[in-house]
Amino acid sequence: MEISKNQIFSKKSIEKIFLFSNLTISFGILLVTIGGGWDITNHLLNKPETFFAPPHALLYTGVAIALFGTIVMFTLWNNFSGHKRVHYRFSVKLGIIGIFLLVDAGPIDFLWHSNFGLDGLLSPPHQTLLSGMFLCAVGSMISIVRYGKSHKTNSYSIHHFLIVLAILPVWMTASGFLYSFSLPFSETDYFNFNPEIYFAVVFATMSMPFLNSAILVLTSKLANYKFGIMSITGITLLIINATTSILPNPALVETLPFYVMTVIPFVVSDVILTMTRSRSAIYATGAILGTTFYFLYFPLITHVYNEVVYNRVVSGSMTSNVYFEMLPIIFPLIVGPAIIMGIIGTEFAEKILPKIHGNKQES
Amino acid sequence: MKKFLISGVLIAGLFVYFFTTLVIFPQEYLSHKVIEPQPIQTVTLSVDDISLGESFKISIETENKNDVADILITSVAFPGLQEIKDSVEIFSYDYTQSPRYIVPGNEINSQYTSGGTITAQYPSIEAYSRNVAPDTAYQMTLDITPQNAGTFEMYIKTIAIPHTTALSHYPYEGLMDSQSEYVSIFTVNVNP
Repeated sequence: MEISKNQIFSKKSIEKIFLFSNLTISFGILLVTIGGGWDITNHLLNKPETFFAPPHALLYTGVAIALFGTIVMFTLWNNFSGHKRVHYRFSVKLGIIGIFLLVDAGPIDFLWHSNFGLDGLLSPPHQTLLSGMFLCAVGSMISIVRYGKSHKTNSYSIHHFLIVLAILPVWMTASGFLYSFSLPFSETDYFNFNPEIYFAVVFATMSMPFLNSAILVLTSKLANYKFGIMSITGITLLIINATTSILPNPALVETLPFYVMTVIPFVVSDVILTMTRSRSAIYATGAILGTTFYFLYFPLITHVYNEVVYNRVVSGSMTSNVYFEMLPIIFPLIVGPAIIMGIIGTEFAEKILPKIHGNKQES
Repeated sequence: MKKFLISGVLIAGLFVYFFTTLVIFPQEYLSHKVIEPQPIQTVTLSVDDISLGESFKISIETENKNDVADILITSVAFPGLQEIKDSVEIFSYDYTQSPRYIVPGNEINSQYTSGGTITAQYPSIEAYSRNVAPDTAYQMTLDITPQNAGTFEMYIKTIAIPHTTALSHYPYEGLMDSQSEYVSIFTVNVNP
């Protein structure tokens, strides 16, 4: 006698596995972003001339995990019917398109390395990879949030904490795009895709505070302003950045105490949003989070502003010197735009929230 | 009252954050001694007089001293050539990075400490190693077949990055090249 799937798994447990598959995708993409960050540092310090480098191994392990998660996610979604199918359709579509781009990026990257050697950050294979990562990350984030919305209670639950895993890959892949269009790491023997230096500085100054604020305020909103979720998200990003960008460079290890200080604005913003949700309070958090971008994106951001301020050779051991020398010159110029873009970021978070929850679709 | 207290703590927290990240930490880190890698080079010519059509070899051994170097670059330039073509071949090479061939018109770094670039005036070969510990040496040997009779000139220098003092560069004196850096000149007489 043939036993149907529904007899083995209840509808509830199928939906739980669907959630787990989306968490797997998010985790896979997180590994890809960690591998990507480590790869950038490895290129800066060691300039590897082969495709077969440890960061690439981590990166493509993440791709394999995300691929596995997407297959499971799509298979389960195909068994959904009625409201549930509609509820998750958009996020599943994003995931499928994303994984196609992600899987295609591997052979494209290998071919590029084989033909043109070292590739720049803004190279076509890297942009294909980033686009795929971003779509996968956004797709799984929406699914996780939508699942959690119907299961969350007023008190803390696991679904509040899953938001951290859901949002981090979105934040990190979006940061990857911003780095691509601002860092001068895209000139190779064959191509020069480096962004124009003044464009890069303006772009970084506008987009990075916006992203910080939009992501962290959105995290807080998705967690119903529960204290700790925004802080954990920010602190996890700090740990990942420190591990991939600071610790591999012996000359930067001493700057860890400086980098860790950025925990303070994360916690302060978190407390503000827990205490009050007035518009002025949300704007204040946007302003605070916006101004932290120059510190949060250390050490890579040094290369963006150095191009305009000094145009020095920023080798591994000179990074902190150049960064801290530029600080009194740069900070007074960027603090105003950073506050404004941080506030705009909170507005964006407000606008995007119902779309993530799928309120329109359901009504 | 509780709200005021919390607000006070938050403001104090932000003050501590901005004061330490903008004032305390920068002062602390900028007061640290900057590393000073110091390269030295030894050059050996196989002959200094050849007939047209014959080849000679030039070996450059570079050693990093004092501190670790992020990058060690040895440059061999050919001011008498417009392009390297078949005149110069790398005979042996043990630097960690692939050599870079500079052609006239390429934008290359100069004045490493203050920052700047210039346009290359003549062809050169740059040999690279990254993360070079003190007392580590690399060597490159070139096999050169001049295409014209006369004096065949080569400008040789080694630069350590970070370029923090005059000793981050070898030689310490001599002719200044188009990058405003001292070079050692080596010549071979090519008889018709």
